[in-house]
Amino acid sequence: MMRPVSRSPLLLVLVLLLGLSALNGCAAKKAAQPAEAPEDAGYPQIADPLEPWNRFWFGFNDVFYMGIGKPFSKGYTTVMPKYARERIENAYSNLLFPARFLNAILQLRPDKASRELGRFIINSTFGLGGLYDLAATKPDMKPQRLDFGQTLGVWGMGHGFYLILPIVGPTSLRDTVGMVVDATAQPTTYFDAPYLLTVGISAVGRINRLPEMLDIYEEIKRASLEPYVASRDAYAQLRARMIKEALKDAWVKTGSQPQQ
Amino acid sequence: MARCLSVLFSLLLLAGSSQAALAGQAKDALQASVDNVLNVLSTTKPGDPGRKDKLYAAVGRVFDPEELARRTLASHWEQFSPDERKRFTIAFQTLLERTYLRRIEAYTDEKVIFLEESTLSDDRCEVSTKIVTSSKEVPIVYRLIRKNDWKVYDVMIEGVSLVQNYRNQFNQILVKESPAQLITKVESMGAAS
Repeated sequence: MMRPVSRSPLLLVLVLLLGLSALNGCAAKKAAQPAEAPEDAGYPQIADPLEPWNRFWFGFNDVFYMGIGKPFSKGYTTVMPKYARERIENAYSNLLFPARFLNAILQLRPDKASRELGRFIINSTFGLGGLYDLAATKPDMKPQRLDFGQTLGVWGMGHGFYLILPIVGPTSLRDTVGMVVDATAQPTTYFDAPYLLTVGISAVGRINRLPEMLDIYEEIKRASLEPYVASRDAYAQLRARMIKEALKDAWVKTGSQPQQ
Repeated sequence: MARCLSVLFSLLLLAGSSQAALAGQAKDALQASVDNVLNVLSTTKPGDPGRKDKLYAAVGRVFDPEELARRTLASHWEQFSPDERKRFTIAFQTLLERTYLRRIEAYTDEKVIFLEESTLSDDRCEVSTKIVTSSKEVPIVYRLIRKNDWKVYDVMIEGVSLVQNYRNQFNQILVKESPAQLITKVESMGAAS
């Protein structure tokens, strides 16, 4: 079996990273807002030079989510009770352990890495291959959110710019790089597993997350006057918080503290 | 020397305790309101007469609609006439009430846990809470300002500030439209949802 995933994404990542570092300078200028009230200071912003492109895909995704995603999700939740969906989520999340572990190390957080390792061992064995998150019953063993976009942020890299991907939805240049890197850390990509298995597992895991994702999306839509602006801002704030949380209690101060 | 130190120490202790007492008030005010909401939710059923009004009253006690509206409009607040400010405040309050009532009503087995609170400035503080369900936790941070009572002026769900989120939307709308048009939009959204 060949391993079709290994080489090309790496190249893509390198290209994107180069682009990202080149863009960082000018994007930072664009992100600067005109003078605002003092209480605005400190709130994260995200540059959006590709707004027309993004708005097009935002509209496309809306049609897709509402027309195909929602009916599908309704059928899925009827077939799959909440209990089954939680088991799938746990198992999928357990399988993504290597990416989180690596990111903990890259963020210079041995504490988080050992917590991930402990969770993985407990849940894989006593938790029946990750179906049950037994580790989470201990307060210091609860799940953590670690991804490569966050790692880049921890090291001081900005978003570059806001990006809406078809079907995937809101992200940024930096976090797209992060997604690609995290995807290559999926366990099935580094032993001789068929490519279809990798795709299949991701598909099951992602489809299983669809109902919750659509709920959040619809909630944003219902509460907003400008859903595009609302979700862009929500994305910027959400990611900023994840990076801030990651920097909390850091043993080694990494890079510059990012503004967003 | 020892006496000097002990005086200093007790002074510090006093200063510390009065600070803590002040900060505790905000948490208490918030907790009272949340308890009230939970109480209404558990004693009435959806569709009961008066349930919505009771919920609005319980939530409204701890929120400051004008502070929320002013912060959301930020520098645009100055461009609004006193009448427009009043209309906007009411429309925005209705929009928020309708939106969040729906969320509160979906409330089933979750628990609200009050965590630490931190002082932001003389008259402002932050109370951290989390909503815990069987499968996940949602961190919610309230920012309160001291007027006659402690009043909430911003809510951050998973780090997303409500005020900041609406501010960005209103900024976008006010680039092309007048305050009156914005108010009409907010009013119609509050009525529709």
